Order: sequence, then structure tokens, then C-alpha cells
Amino acid sequence: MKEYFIQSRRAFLKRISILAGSSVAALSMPWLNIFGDTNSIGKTSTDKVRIGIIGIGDRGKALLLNIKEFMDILNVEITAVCDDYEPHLQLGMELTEGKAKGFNDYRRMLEMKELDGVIIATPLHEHARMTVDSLTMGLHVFCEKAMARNIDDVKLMYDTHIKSNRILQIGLQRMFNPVYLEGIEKIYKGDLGQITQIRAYWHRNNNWRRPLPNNDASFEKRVNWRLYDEFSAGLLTELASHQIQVANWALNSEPVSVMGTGSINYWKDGREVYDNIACIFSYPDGTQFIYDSMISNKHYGLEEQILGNKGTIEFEVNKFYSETPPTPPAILQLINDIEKGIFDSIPIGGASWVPETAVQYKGEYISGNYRMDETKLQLEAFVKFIREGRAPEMLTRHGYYSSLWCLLAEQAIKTGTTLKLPDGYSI
Amino acid sequence: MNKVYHNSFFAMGTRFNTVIPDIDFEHGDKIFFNIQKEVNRIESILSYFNRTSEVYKLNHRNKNNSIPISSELFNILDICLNYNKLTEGAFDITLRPVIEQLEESEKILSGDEIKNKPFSYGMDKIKLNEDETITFADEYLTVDFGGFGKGYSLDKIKTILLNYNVKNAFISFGESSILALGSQPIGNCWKVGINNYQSPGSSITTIELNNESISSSANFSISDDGSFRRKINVIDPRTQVQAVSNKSVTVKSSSAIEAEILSTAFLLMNEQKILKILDGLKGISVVEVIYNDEPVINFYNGEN
Repeated sequence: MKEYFIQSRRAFLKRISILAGSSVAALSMPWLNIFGDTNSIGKTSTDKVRIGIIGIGDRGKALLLNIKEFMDILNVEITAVCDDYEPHLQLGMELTEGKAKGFNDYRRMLEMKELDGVIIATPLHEHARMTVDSLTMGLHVFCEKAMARNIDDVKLMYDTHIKSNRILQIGLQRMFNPVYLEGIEKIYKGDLGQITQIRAYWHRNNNWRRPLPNNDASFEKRVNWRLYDEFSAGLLTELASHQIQVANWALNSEPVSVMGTGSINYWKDGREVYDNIACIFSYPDGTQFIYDSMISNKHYGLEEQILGNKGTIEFEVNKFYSETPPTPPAILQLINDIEKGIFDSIPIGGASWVPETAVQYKGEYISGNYRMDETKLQLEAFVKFIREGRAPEMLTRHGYYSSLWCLLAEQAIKTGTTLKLPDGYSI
Repeated sequence: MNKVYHNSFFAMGTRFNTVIPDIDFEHGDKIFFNIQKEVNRIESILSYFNRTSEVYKLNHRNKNNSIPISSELFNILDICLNYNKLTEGAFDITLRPVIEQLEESEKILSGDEIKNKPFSYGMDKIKLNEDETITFADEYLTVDFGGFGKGYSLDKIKTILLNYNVKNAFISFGESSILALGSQPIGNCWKVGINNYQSPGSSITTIELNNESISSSANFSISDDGSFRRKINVIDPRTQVQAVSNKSVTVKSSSAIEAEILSTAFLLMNEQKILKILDGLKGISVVEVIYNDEPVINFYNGEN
């Protein structure tokens, strides 16, 4: 029998409802309740949720296709698509079979009266103005991570969300991944004991470059915006933001300081963002989150390791390792017998002689829902939140603090100083 | 409800469980910490795989003559050589290369096939020198204490427990090596059931232990569904032939080392040879189970 299995959607929802009802859910994952709310699915045309998508690049296309998978079930419509690059706009129109109205200027799209929410999947530096404009127009927003290119814009997005009383959900999909949800529940229930350290890394081995249309150099910064300081904080905003969110989630806290270093030591091709970084985030209880990322070696891949005095979680491989092994049933029986004053035989003896390597504790799987599509689940939640008109504030806070701290880490690296949260940015 | 202390950790590739009745948690924790420290210390000497262990360094030596080793390892090798003689070569700590070759072959090999494979083994190639150095007669010879370390640890743990004035305790090393100090609080012994692999969850017989240890060895392992899975890592070093029938042997002794060594050696011996060895030993009980259509149980006892 396989040690894990792919659960059906029904089984997943059942598990989610149990998780949502757990004693730690309100503290750690209040957004799960939305999946149990079957009443929020409206079937009439007036109850249809109408979405506009800004940015039909790789990520925007993926989000669009995900929505299409549950459009009919959840009564959703992709009403508009927008991209200022004509081939992408055409792609968006084709993928919606021409049903969506196309725009090359997002501001024109926001003027549509038929929209309930927008999905923003554009380059990082464009997130802030698009989000602020959308919220100001009364639309709910799902914006890809990280939130913005600088901390002032992050704060502006958050403040506008509060002021407009509209949903601002950031695309940190691990918050909807069953493995993370069940792992976080284990952490909050105390299965790991006290969290004493977090380590995470994200390693790739590629130059992060995308081909230019017709090799036209004038597209360089538009296509490879991730490589330029003006538009991106590189590894921090593109990768680390996910893992900072996981660390904050596991600790139910935000850092108090960050120090770090970085350089371009391999891809010396004119790029401006670091190709390797290392940071340490410190938390109020003294826990350190040790992070590194690089794009010149992929041997170790990516991982978030949560280390407690009773156990360890490795989220990316869906594993929980107890510091103490599972107690054999016979030992449990013996303890029970002694406690209750029973004198009986316990069935324990008889395992064969085993060489030292044969029995290695390989941990336990956190969740059986190993391949549930977290991106689809977060979009499904966004649609349901729109129908409800609100989303748990914790969801937005996670986006806010992960974005803020990856940008502070960038500044810590650039200035060679240890940085704290500046005044006025605590929410 | 009666008090009972329980704690566990990973060591020597398996799980280690400590159960001490009638003891405060803090006192139990202190004892457990010292037990854990001692087991880890022993593993750091005897581990075959840990690159910093003394045995690893010995196996990856750059000379074969007059190799200096610690007094403790010297004494351990002395014990092993004595049991190698006592069991007429059935207990042999040099067999790992043979076992690894057999495991790679993933089938049961004939005696001739094994003989034709190029590896070095045999405890007659180990010589302990008077100056507490060791000499290997063959440069490829290695030693492996996988069938010794748990028993050795349990005897050391017994001393720790007695030093802490613990009267009753039950220590399980991967459920195959057990130290039963004193007795169950309301009984006159610890009653341990020997698993019946043809009827999972039931015991084939019960052994009573009081200040004694048991060790079990088998030439098979069990699949997840409970069915037998042949294991090929038990061979007779004298004949290089693997046992054909599924067999388990459990040995009870006041010495955990002795129980562990003999349970491995007796797997390869017939009744006559087992009884011959038991004749010269005191207080040893043996339960041999041969799994055919129905399990056949044989009990052998040494002098009382």
C-alpha cells in the first residue's frame, strides 16, 4: 500500500472541515471555513462572480486556467482580461473563447461596471498602483506575491484595503496546501514542542532569463524584469516571500529584525539582482529563521524545516519527524498494565536481527492530500470570499508581513546592517 | 493509577524504549538522559557507518599490523573472539561484506556461488596483541557489531539502573533485545510473549524474566501485510550456506550480550549443537520456532 494517497475532493473537503473545526483553526487558519460554506455558491446569473484578470503572462495564464476548471461549479465568469502586450492579450481572449472583454489598459478595465474582483499577475513593480486603483474602484483584489517593490507601496496597498473595506488576498498558496495546513495544525497543537529554529532554502540552477520576442533587445527589461533592481528584489520577492510567510505562520509571529548578505557570484550577465542570498530573521521569542537562496545549484531544491524540541517538519516533502520514535503497541500495553495494576504478558519479543542500516526512521507523512492543487484552492477561496464580501484579515496580514520582510531583508543586504520594522509599519 | 515513567529515542538503527515503574518523572528523566548518553557513546564507538566511530576508522585503516585501539574496543573484540570459539565460528563479526554481496544478488545463493565470490571474512584473521593493539591478517577484513551492540548496551544500562537504585525496569531495544530488571510491580517477574508470525498479534509462548535479558533473531522478516519475507543476511560462516527454513530463536540469559550473541549463533545450529553449548553455560533458556505449515516450538535449557 502506498504510504500516501491522493485524496478525492470530497475527502479533502471532509478533512478541511475537521481542520476548520479544530481548536487551533481560529488562531492559525480561519480562512478554511469558507470551504465548508456551501450556501455561498450562488447559481443564478445575478449571483455570478465576475472576475477580471490583469496580466496574462505565465502566471496569469495559469491562474486563468485554474479558474476555468471551477467556473461552472462555483458560478464564476472571467468577464475581462487585460495585458499591454498584444500576444498575451490575444491569448487571454482565446483562452476564454472570446467571452471575456479584452483591454490593453487596466484602468479602462476597472471602469467596467460588471466586475466584482480582479486578479493581478503583472510584474512586481506594477502591483501597487493596480491594486490601489482596483480597491479604490470598489473591487476585491487577488494580487500575486510579493505585494510591491517597496515597503511604502506595501503599506499603501494594505491601508487602501482597510479604507475601501474590500478583500485583498495575496497569492501565497501554501496557506491553502493541505500539507501545510495539517503541518501547521500539528505545530499549533504542540506536536513539535517549542519551535526553536526555522531553516528554509530555495535553490535552482538556471539563469532566470526568458527569451525575448524575436530576439528584440528592446523587450529585455519588460520580459526579464525579475533581473533588474528597479522592478524586482529578485530571489527575495520571487521566492523567499513564500517561505517567510511559512515561517511567520509556524511561529504565529513576525520577525523583529533581519540581517543578511548577498552577491552576484555566478550569473554575471548584466543583471542587477543578487543570484545568491543568505539572511537571518529574528523573532520576538529569540527564534532564528535562517534562510538562503541561489540559482547556480539545484541539488538541495527547496524546503522549509520547522525545528522544535519534540519534532521536525519538512513541509516540501510532507514529512514530520518525531524526536522520539512512535511507541510500539506492546510498550503502550505494558504502561497501561502497570498504571492499572494489571499483571499480564505483553507480546513484544521476536524481531529478527537487523543490520544497522536496515531500520532507519524515515518520518511520517503529514498529510495524505499530497497533490491537491493549492493554487486552485486559493482562487476558489477568493471567489467564495467575494460572494461573502469579506475574507479573514489574517490572510491579508500574512501577505503584508511576508512582503514587508522580504523587502527589509533586501535593504539589510544592501546596507550591510541589521534592520528592524520601521515605525508606522506595524498593523 | 500507578506511576510509570516512559521515554524513547532512536539509536543503532532502531527504537529504544525505557519503562520504569514507581518513579518520579524528574528522577526518571535524569536516569533516561544517562542511559541515552551511554547508548550514544557506545554507538559512537561501534557504528559501522558513522565516519567518526572507532570501528569505522578501524575498518578504513591504512595498516593491518599493531593497530592501536581503545581498551573498550579491545575488550569487546576479546568477548567476540571468545564467543566465536564457543559457537565454533557460528557467531562471526566479519560477515558484513558477505551479507552485502548476498543482498546485492537479491536471491538465495548456493554454497558454491558464495564460495566463488571474492571477499574476506573469518574471525581467525583477527589477532589481539598483548600491547592492546590488533592485527588483521587480511587487508580487506572488516568488523561489524550489529549483532552485538544492543546486548552490550543493555548490560551497561543495567549497571546504570542499579547505580540509581532502580529495582524494576523494562528496557526494549527495537523489541528484539530486552532487559527486564526486577519484576513488574505487582508480579514476581516480567512476562514477555514471543510473537507468532503466522498469527500476528498473538504470542507463541511466554517467557518469564527476572533480572534477565532476552534477544530474538530470525532468518526472515515480515512484510507490511504480515506475510513472510525471506531475509538473506543470516548465513553460516562455516559452510557459507544460508538456512532454508524460516526460523526464529529467542535466548534468555542474565547477560544481554550473551543472549544477543547466542540468538544469532543458534539460528545456524541444530539441536545437538545448541545443547552442547548450553551444557557449558548456566541459566540459559532457548525458544526455537520453525515456521512450517504450523509453527514447531522447541525449548532448550542449559544447566540451572
